[in-house]
Amino acid sequence: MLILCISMLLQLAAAALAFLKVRRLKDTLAWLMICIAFLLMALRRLITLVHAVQSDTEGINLSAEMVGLLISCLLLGGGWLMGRVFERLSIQQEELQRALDQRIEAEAQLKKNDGLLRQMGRIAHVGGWEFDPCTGKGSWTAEVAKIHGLDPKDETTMEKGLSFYQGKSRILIEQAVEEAIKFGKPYDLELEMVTAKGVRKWVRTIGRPKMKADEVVMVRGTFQDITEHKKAEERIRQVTKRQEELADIIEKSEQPVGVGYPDGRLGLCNAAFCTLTGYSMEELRGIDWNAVLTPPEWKDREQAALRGLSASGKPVRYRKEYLHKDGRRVPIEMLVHVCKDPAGAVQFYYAFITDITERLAAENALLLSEKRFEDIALSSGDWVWECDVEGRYIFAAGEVARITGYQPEEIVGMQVFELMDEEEAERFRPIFGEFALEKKPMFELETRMVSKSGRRVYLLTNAVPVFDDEGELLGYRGVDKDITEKKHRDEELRKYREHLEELVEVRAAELENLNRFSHTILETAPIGIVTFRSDGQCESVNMHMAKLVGESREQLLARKFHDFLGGGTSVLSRLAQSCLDSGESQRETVSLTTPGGKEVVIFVRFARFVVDEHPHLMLMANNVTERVRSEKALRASSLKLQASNRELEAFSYSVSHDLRSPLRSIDGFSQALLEDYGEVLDEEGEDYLQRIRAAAQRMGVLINDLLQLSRISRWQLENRTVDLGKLALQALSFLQVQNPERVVEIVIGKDLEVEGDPRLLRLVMENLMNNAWKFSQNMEIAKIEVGSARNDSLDRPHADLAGNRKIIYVKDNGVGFDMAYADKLFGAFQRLHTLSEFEGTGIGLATVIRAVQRQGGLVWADGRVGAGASFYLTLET
Amino acid sequence: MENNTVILLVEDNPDDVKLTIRAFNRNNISNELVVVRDGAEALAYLFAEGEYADREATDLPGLVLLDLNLPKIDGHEVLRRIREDERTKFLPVVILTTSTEESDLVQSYTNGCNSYVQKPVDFQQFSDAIRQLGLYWVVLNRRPSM
Repeated sequence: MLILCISMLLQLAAAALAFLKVRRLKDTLAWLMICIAFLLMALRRLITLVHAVQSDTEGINLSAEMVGLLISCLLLGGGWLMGRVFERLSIQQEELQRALDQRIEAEAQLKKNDGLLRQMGRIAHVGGWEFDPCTGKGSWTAEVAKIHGLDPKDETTMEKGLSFYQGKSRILIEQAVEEAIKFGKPYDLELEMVTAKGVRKWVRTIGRPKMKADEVVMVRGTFQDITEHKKAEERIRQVTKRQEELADIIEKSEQPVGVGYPDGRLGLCNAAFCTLTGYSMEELRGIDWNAVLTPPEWKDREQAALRGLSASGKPVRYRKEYLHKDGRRVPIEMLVHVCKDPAGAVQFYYAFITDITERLAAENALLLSEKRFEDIALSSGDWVWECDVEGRYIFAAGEVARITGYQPEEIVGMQVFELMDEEEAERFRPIFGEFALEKKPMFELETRMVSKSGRRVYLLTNAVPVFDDEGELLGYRGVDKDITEKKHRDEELRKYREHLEELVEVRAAELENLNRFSHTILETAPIGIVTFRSDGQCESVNMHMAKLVGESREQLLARKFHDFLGGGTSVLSRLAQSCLDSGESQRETVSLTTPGGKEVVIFVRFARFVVDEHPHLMLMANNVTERVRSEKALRASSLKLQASNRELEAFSYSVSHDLRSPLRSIDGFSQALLEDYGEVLDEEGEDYLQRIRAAAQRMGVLINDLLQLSRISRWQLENRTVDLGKLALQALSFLQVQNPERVVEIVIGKDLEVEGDPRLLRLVMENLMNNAWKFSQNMEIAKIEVGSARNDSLDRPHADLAGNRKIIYVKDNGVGFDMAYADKLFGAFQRLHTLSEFEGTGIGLATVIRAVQRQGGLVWADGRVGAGASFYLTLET
Repeated sequence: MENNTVILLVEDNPDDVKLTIRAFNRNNISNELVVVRDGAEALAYLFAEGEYADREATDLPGLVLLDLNLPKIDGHEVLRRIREDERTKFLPVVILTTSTEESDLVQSYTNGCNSYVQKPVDFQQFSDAIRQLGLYWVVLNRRPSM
């Protein structure tokens, strides 16, 4: 039983083994049948076993079962071994199959590669070649032959291959081939060749020598037409070079260039940009251009410009300012471009930035200058204009409205000829045409226009031609000056000139008359006149001269200067010469003997005058013989007068000294007598002595007054403004002190200033005041009045006497006088009252009249007995 | 000034000399009055020359009354010399004259007179003038010591 179980298990194991093989090996069916066979055998064992169990164990053939077990073991072992064999076989077969597949695949690949190679060769113009260095025989692919311009079927050799190269290429290839053959050195050359069809080509040939036992048996290589490649390379090289140059230019450019991103970052910038902003490259990398470089007030404008740029894609140009690192502002002009990605979003901006500090300054200067010129042009009072070649105004400014009556905007578009009347337009049209044709400037061209109101306006035009860039005349630019007034003046001047000519004629006639008149005067003048030419020849002589010299006119005309007037004394010659030399007239009084033998004294005057550019000499002679004689006599009497004056002075002096001394003695000793010997004298004796004393004193006063009177004639006069009212008051004050008991009403009027000698006027007023004071002494209320008047306020006869002059009067209410004696009033020592009535010497009024008359004035008196006296005086002549 | 100061009177007219002395006496001016008759004598006295050579030159009068119209050397010249000399330049000189001529007045003041008095004809007035002169120049006036 046990054997049965073991056998059955072995058969089951074999079946499982076979089943495993089924899964692992390809011969599934065979192994499946084996597996089933084992399973069936195992089943048979199981049945036997079951049988044994149900019946008994005797029914089992032990030996048969043992053999069965042995067979099962062998089967299992054989099956396992066979399985291994089969397995190995299966693997070999698979490998074989795989190798075969690979081969097929490789062939296909090869074929494909070959095709590709050929195709590639065609496309890339590349091919292969080889040659035997021993024989020189070679072969090449069709493409190589084609590159050489040959038929692919043509045979080739090394020599033939080399024959397509010339010059430097030939040397290079020969050298490379030689080295390849000799030393097995591979080469790779780019060479220029000329094909069989005469086309120049660039080729690349790579050679690889094949060695066998240190000997080169074959040289193989590739051959490629790189003409296109070369061209492309050249293009790339040029492009690259250009790019490098461009980059270099940008970098070195003075023009700041910068790239900015919408987010505020700065990209590439050049050195000029750094200079402009003051930041270094490194600093710029960390800077937000919108936040740092742009001043706040520019941000909106800039963003607006950039929005426009983003929308249109067209570069924008705008001005703004940069904030320099040092804080100052730099005015700049930006030219900004935009770069967008394919989707249309802004990638970055790049800008060319120009520092316009100087330009702004220049623009300002230009503006200023333009303004200045405009101001000058507009303030000149002229009309500034510009016109095209047809004379059509395209600009008008300045005083255009004042001159033409048209506003500038009215004028623009009008032709210059439209502003003229027909006649003037006809005249001016060809003139303008000629100027425009010759392109020459207009200088002081006179034109006549008609203003809007119809007034004729004359203009003086100055203009310069204006050209475009090609030198074509665009028109004229000029200034019109209004010369209408000048024209009118010229016209008036012309008329005046005509009138003048008439006048000249009249004048000529008048001159003729005058000439005749002059001649008559000359002839009848009581003065000798003679004219000489510069050579001394007498030219004309008048009657009086002939009479003076005592010769006939003919005799005189024949004379020359040197024998004129008795040979012409040296004095006359000298004067004549001096007059001719200096041109100044000369005068002298000379005594001479005339040719007629008369002794005469003549006063001569020499004058030079010019006739037809020839100097002439005129001699005028006055016979002053008589005058000189009378002058001599006068001088003699004047000397006598002076002498007597001196005597008079000496006399006055001695009077003042010597006449008074005895008087003093008389008075003094009379007094001494009275004092010392009074007791021996009776009353009558004393009276006599008193009378002696009184007489002496009175004589002293007389002498004083006389001296005063005589001095009036001798004093040197001065002329000043003198206030007679003040002088009167001073005199009256003095009198009031002398006579304090007197009550006198004093009235001093206004306007009492006169021109005269202060000392004399003081004497005058003192004497007049003395008089008034004295002769009013008996009045209860005396009144003295000093005033001034003109004739209109005076009664006759004073008004007649006063004439037009200012009168000063002195009035008193004293005793007055009888007008019958008025002529005695002013005489010296003349008195109208007795001494016992009024004291006085009678010299006072004589002094007054002399003092007034000495100054050329006038004095007179008016009075009535008992009714006061009035004295009138004036100093005006 | 002391009462014994000398007054020098330069006057050629003996009447005037007498009247002057009388006026001095009348007014109780007791100073010694030295009278010289002309300009030369006046200068000789002042500078202690000639007949006055033995006089002490430093002993100057307190006042000189000088007439202008004098024999030999006139009053103007005398005054000029007095003012020229260091010793006498401060000497008070009063011109006492009959002249009323303006020219005399101007010249006297130009030469440096201290006062100009015209001799009145009336003795009473003359006497008053002398009294005032004496009072003023001899009593009141002060001058630098020489």
